[in-house]
Amino acid sequence: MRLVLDPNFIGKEYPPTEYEIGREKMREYARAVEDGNPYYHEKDFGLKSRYGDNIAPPCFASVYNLMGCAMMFMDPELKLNMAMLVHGEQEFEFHKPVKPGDVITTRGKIVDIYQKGHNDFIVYEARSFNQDGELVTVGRATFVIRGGN
Amino acid sequence: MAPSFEEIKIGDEIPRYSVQLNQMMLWIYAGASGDFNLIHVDKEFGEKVGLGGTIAHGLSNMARLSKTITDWVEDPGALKYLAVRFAAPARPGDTITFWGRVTDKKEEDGKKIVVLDVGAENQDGVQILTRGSARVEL
Repeated sequence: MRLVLDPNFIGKEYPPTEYEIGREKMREYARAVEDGNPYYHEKDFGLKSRYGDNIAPPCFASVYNLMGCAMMFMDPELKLNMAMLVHGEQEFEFHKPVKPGDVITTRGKIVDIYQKGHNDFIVYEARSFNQDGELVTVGRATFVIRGGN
Repeated sequence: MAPSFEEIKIGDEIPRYSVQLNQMMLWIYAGASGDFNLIHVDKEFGEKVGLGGTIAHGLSNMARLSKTITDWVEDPGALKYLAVRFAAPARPGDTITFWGRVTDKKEEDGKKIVVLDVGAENQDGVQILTRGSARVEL
């Protein structure tokens, strides 16, 4: 009998992570995917925009929203088989753009565990808030453990 | 010019974006994102674990899909939702084409919403990002 991930872990929360958005870090991320959008790169353009500053590329959420995944990956109770784990799906809700200087607090938890075929699936949901307590981003990452955990 | 809500029609295709990947781009993304998983940076490791070499970060493919949409609407703050399945790996040497097609437009609570199917495929027609969905508010 193969070991399967215990659905009792659904609902397990991890300690919040904190990340301060840096202008050059978000620009470095944009440049890494050759995204030259002036909303990220041109300061004057940003200052005159409806945001009053540059904003981060939406998928910069991959950095601040998914930070807490590492805790789930290393969770000694969960014992994920990292050698067989792949990122299967990703979903982002972008509620409000993030800007340089924003301090983002993200709370992550396991929201689903299921089996399909020979694979186990685990869904991690992370909710990111800015320093004013406003929800900025919700991420849902589905990881597949090929062949089951 | 960014499209106006009035001009957009269901079935419209947004401009496609194609890029040929190389290993340096994977290293640069690793540095920018902080994800140095060896499957993205070390060719020998990628071969050893049965991937046939390195593969691009799934999230970098997603970020390029996001760029394709925000290049169309111009204002990145208009993108409110993006979801994809990482169906197949993208590798150095591959040319990946990102696409989007309008499937719905509606006005709700004063918001002008456009919904798209989005995705990415390689030069052989292998689907890299599938079940892609995006929502923008103009």
